[in-house]
Amino acid sequence: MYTLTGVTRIYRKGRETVTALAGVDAVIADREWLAIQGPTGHGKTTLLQLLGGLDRPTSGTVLLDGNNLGTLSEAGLARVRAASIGFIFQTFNLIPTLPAAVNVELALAPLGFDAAGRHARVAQALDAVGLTDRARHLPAELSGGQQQRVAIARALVKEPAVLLADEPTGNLDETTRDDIIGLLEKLWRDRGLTLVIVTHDSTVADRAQRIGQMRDGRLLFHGGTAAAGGDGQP
Amino acid sequence: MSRVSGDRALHLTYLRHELRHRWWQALATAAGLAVGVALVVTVNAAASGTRAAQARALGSLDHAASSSAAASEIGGAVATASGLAADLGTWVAVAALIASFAVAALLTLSSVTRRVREFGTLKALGWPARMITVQVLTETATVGIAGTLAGVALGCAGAALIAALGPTLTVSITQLPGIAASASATPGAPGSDGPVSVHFSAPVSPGIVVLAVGLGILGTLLAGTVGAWRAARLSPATALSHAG
Repeated sequence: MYTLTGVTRIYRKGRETVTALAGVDAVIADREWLAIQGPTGHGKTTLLQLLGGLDRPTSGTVLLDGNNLGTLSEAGLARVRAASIGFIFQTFNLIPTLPAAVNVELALAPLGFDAAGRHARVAQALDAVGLTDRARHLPAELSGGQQQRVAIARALVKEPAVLLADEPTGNLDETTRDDIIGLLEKLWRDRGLTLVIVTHDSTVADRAQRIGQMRDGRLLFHGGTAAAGGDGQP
Repeated sequence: MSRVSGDRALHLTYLRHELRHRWWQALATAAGLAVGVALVVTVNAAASGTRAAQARALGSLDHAASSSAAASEIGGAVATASGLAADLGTWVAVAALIASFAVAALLTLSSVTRRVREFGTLKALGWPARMITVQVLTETATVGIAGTLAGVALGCAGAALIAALGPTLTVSITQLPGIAASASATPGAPGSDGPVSVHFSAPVSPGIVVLAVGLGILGTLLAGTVGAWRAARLSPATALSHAG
């Protein structure tokens, strides 16, 4: 479960300061699916980076299961990301020189599996996203939808508790978008994930349990509450 | 044990694919280094050959000359000329080696810069700085060692070519005014009144090979360490927002 209290993030560029987050309070329950919408430049991606331990708040606290992500060491944050958090990006972020299977395998490298254990999990993950027959293909040899499926397999191969997706369908056509969101919804239900999706697309956001709106660095929920939506059950 | 070997296997798999798909970049780095190392080996061998030829020519003068003062004067002139040539060659080789290290270092650092987003992705996947450092160093060291060894091979080939094509110098003592040939010398031998042949060779010294290999690997590791350090200390959020 995430608990965010008074989270601000201020960037300094020379003499200018940019307030990306201006006091975000929120609770995201385990197994909840939260969509975050809002105009470009209002702090959606910054919030996702803080949830993922990719960045630290200027002030306030981001607690994940009681761990303050803002005060963990770099090594501690890396361990949390390796074990508990999966990421999906708009541009897929696959390593272009590596086949799909090796891209997925990279996520297991910090976790101490031996090669046989890694290969077994990779095969299962690619099977779960329907890409068993594309394991040896390079990203450039795959369609956009297939690349995003590889990225989903990479995010889920380590069986994380949390999946964070930044515009996961932003580079896909409508049919592929529906396929990907259908896949994410199935994986969310089957695996009991906490799923946070940043999206401009209301079609995608409407599938979530709860929608938050980012405006000028603040996260607003319908009805004005920052608490977790529903009981967090899929 | 299995974790370490598993990590190593993945690093090597990563390396293999990187080299296969970015071979032109690896080749450019290795070739730059190889040229520098080869020049060091070849020029050093040529300088050694020059000094050896000089010593043989001077030996023939010593035996042939009745006037030790004249022999010394001529010998000094020959020694100075060949010494200057050897020194110039050494400096050219050192300059080439420094230039090739600089090229290798720049290519390594530009490779890291181009892959900033990739390293940001690895960080998002939970790769600690140590693993990213190992990956970058593995790639850099492989290319550097290959370039260095290729440079040694090229350098030895260059030395052999110089030896094969090198001229045979003829020293004719009797033409020199004021110097009489030694009566005791046998014809054709050093000190005789006939022409003396000095064949130019370019022997490769094991010491210079060890030095070139050491410098090549050291330079590569230095460049790789700087590149790995830059990659490992990247903020993941910054790296992921990096264009390209």
